[in-house]
Amino acid sequence: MGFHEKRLILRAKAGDYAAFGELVTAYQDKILYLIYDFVRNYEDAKDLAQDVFIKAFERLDQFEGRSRFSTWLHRIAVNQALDFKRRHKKMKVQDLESSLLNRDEFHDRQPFPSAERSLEQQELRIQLEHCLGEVSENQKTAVILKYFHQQSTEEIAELMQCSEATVRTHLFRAIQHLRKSLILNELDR
Amino acid sequence: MEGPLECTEKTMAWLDGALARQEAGKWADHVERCETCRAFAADYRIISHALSHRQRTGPFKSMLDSYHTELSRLFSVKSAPPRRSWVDRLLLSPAPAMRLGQAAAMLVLGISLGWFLTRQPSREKESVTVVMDQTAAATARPIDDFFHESEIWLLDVMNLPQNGKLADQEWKVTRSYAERLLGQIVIIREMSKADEEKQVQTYLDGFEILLLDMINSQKNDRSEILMQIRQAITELDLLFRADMIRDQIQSDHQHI
Ligand SMILES: [Zn+2]
Repeated sequence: MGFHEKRLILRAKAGDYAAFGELVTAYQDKILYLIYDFVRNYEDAKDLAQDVFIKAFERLDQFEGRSRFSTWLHRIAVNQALDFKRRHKKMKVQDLESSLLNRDEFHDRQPFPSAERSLEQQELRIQLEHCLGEVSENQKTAVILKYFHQQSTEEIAELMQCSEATVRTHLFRAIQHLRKSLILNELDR
Repeated sequence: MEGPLECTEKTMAWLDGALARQEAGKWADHVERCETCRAFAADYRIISHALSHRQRTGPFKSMLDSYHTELSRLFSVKSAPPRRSWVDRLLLSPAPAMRLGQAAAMLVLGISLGWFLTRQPSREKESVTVVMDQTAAATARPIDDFFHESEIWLLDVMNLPQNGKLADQEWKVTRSYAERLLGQIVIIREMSKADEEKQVQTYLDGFEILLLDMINSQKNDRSEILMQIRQAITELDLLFRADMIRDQIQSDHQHI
């Protein structure tokens, strides 16, 4: 946590509305995307993200600075998203593949130089995201935080309130599942 | 030695950089020799890379913009009103119920102005100045901020009926904001020990009661016109008193 952020948090805790506004601005997109990765619908993600910031504001007194602020905020977001999913289990889930084809303005990452390679990778990603729908809630949470949102194992452990070893086990099981599914898909062809 | 499942799991910890240096060196040798772990490591690199570098889909820019706008409306730096602008804002208020409330409120305001001025002997006024002198460096800023924020909050609360039905989220924010202000009152109270600060205390008492009322009242209760009028009167009175006290603080600062 940077010095600037610490100051903002202290000011927000003391009732400085504007300071909290600055924190919101800093995290609004991260939190929206994190929630989206769970609920797969931007309209819901938007509402839930707003709730997350309201909750965070209400509970700011409970934030003691033992973890990073971002970890604390991520935890509220993950809980909010999982809670929503449990409540809306039967709701139709937006089809991943069509949503991936429907992409619009988000081409900010282009890690692969060759277009051919990129297409291959894209196909792999679609498969992976699809398989990710099959793993347990804990495994999925760990994968989303680790690979989609670049949280460290330590941060995930704090966020999921379990040991780092447990996080690694969740990740390991998820990876094993993805591996097996990919191998099966290969065989299907 | 370890079975195949255990050893690939440890390989993942190794890939994650979770092993201590000495153990990591040892495990690198294991991966070199163990076919299962080598295959796992190769797959893991592909999978983790693909997961980490996926392109995000959406959202549409318009959606993202509206999300940002809504959030900034909820938590923005509420623009500081120029001094006494609340009078203008009130007079521009379009709701008839509010106008009635304003008329009554302005009347009471006038009465309370007279009451305030006649009730306060100059000695008491000075005593506030003295208090501010003594603790100027430590207290002037927080008190200023407090009054400023109270004013904004009060203005928002007063505009509630104009906005019609308050969205749930906005209501929650208003509530927790009010709660935060209550916390500030406690802090300011702790700073003031001398008897001379009674005036500030009186203001704070009134303000606290109002805040508590607001927090405890149901949204629907406020839709009653009579209630609105009463509320507007109380709030205006408090607003006025906040202004008076701030004037004193400011004139005190000019003396320094
Ligand atoms: Zn092995």
